[in-house]
Amino acid sequence: MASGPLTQLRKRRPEITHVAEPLSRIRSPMAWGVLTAGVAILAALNLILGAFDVELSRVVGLLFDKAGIDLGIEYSDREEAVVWVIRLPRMLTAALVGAGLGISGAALQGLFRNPLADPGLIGVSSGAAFAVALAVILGLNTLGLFALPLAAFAGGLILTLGIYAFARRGGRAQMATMLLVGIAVNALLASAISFITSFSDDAQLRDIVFWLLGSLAGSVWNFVLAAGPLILVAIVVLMRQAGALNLLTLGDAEARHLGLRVERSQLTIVTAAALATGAGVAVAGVIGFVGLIAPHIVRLALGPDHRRLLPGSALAGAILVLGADLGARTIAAPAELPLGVLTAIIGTPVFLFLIDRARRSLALSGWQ
Amino acid sequence: MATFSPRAAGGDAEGRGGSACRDEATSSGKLRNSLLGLVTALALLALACAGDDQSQPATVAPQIELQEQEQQEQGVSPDPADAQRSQQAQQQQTTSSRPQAEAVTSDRQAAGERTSSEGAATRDSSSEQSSSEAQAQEQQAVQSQAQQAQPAQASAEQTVTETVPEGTRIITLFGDLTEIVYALQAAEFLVGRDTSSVYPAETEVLPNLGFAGALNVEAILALEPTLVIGNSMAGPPGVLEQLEAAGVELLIIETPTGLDAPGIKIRAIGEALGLSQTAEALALDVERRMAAVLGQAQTVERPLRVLLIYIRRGGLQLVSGQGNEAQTIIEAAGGIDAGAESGIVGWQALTPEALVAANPDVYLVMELGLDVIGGIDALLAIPGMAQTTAGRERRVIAMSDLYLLGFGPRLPEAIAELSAYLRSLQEE
Repeated sequence: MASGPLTQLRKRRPEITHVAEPLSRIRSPMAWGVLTAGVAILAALNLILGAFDVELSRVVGLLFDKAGIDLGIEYSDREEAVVWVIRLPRMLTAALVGAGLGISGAALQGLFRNPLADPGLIGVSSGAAFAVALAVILGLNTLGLFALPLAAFAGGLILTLGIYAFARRGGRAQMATMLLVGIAVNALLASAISFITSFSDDAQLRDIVFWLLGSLAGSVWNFVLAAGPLILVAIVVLMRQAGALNLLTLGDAEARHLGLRVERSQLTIVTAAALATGAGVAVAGVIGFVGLIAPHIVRLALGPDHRRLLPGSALAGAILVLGADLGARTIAAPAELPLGVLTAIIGTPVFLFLIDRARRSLALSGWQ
Repeated sequence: MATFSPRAAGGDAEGRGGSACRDEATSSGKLRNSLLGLVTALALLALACAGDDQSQPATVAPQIELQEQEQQEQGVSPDPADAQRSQQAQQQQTTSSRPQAEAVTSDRQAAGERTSSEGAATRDSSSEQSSSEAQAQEQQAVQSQAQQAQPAQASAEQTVTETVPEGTRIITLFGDLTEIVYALQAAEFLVGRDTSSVYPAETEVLPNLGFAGALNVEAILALEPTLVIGNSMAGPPGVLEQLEAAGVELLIIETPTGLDAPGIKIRAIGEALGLSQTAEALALDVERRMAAVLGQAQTVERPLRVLLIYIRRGGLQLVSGQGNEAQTIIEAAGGIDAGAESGIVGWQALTPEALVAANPDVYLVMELGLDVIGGIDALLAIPGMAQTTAGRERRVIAMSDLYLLGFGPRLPEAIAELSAYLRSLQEE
């Protein structure tokens, strides 16, 4: 779908490629290597490290054993429970949620042509959080482990599509309108959540705050199996929109003139981003910052081309959440730190460092 | 979840049993559509679950030892010396609050625990020739009554021998639950606690797992518990499932906000530990002390109207009303819950209008809350305070939240203490 308009785009945008290409061409192989290695190393560390001590050899033996290869390494039932029932699903959830947030953030920043766009801005996070708060206060959280994730997912998706429908009234969807509506609705729901928390008891407050701060502490296999496919589908859909997003950076009218079915792409991107974020919020709560900062980190390293930016942001998002969760689990053990705090602590210095480097190298190359 | 750990067969069975329990509870909660219904159901189911588990270890290790018997007796009569001490502390605070009647700050925990402050308490109360002496004597009578009943109970229990199964490792995830394990003389089996478990002071040496609502599963498993005892705060969601999948026995106790809460909790924990008889004796003892305290507390002619203000870190300030633990305890202590009376249901944000509408004679705050806001002057500087009787008269009672609202084995003493404060304010 994207290949047609894209070839046209290449011919028509010499200025843009001139700036972006040289920088990213130099850094590209190294950046990809760093991103992939980062995901792999952090995933491994998340399996090996934790408050419960399990020897490395036993972790390896156990994983091979599960894969059907017996290495003859003995391990206890407790160790199996820790690695297989607790760490592995949690690691997978972290990677999936991070990838979903990262790629959604990149896609939405492209769609809105706004570097401050974030999956939270189109209402997914606030819709999910509000649905959770409402469900908790109505006592629906006692209906089972999946009641709140379902409420979160439905709330996020419904609100996002509602905002989109509102912005689209009268024909064409104005992305600027959607952004403004999103900000207004976010503010409204934030106060609604504060209102709900003001008369909730401690247990209810815990459930609501859990969603607002984000945590992977409750990750179980069923969450991976429920949210994983949704996030993966959304990632694939968004990757296929990379060409469309490149066109949309020129402006909606320009993209339309270049042959892109703008409304259809917009709806696809918004829905896929809401799906990825909503599924993530459902299992891990609102993890701020990742969707905003992961695309920026990748853009500085790999350039603004969405064909690189989207997969790169998925990897960077996974790295951020894997790293933050590793810290959340281990730094204050035996207690646990809030995940959102750590994503910000890890993300901001990296971000500032990259901005500083990019500013210097760009200044040298005479681009201001 | 059980399907993911085919090796842990025992753990599986327990996990399924646990979830079956939960399902049942869930359906009843749905039917009644009320939290209270669920709470009761869960408590009953917890009892049922605990009963099942108890039969298992009993067949494995039926130990009959003289030592255990002695321990039994101690468990039955929860330290008369402690009761004495608490009584002294109570007396001290009652008397010391009298001259200024400005603020009654209970530090019963410290006074009850440390021998130095105990001495101070004795000196204080003996040096003061106040009119509260008669009242103190009344209390003494109540307590000696309770103490007289205890030895009889203990001798009746001598024939029973029960022990916590060998190798039991307990983690308690709330202050009142930890307190009960101590009261059951099973503290030696504790291997971890949450951050709210601050009484008795010995709990400090146990590994602190942080806030019960934000648990780290691995840290719990690293302590290798066989039994984790928590309440509705335990979380986040999913963590309990993970613990079950790892083969840890869970006891989630939900309790109503009534005066029967300590008994329910004590019996549930006792059964889970294989100490049903000890627990029964302790529960009966608490109920006996409760009856004695209630009989005395409710003979007030002109009850004071009390408003509980709850201050959380981060600026949240709530007033308590209908259906909260605060209402139960204020009414038991012979007061009137001014919040409930003025139409507040559950918790409500503190507003000047709510204060004026409730117009209490006394404010009841948690010690921690008073610390958070920065003392009595800061509390009374809240808008609306000056327009209430309690604010004008500077009547503030501060008590430890675990002691007052934890509804553990010390509930009768907490009610007696609150009641004594109210009476001393009344006599002004």
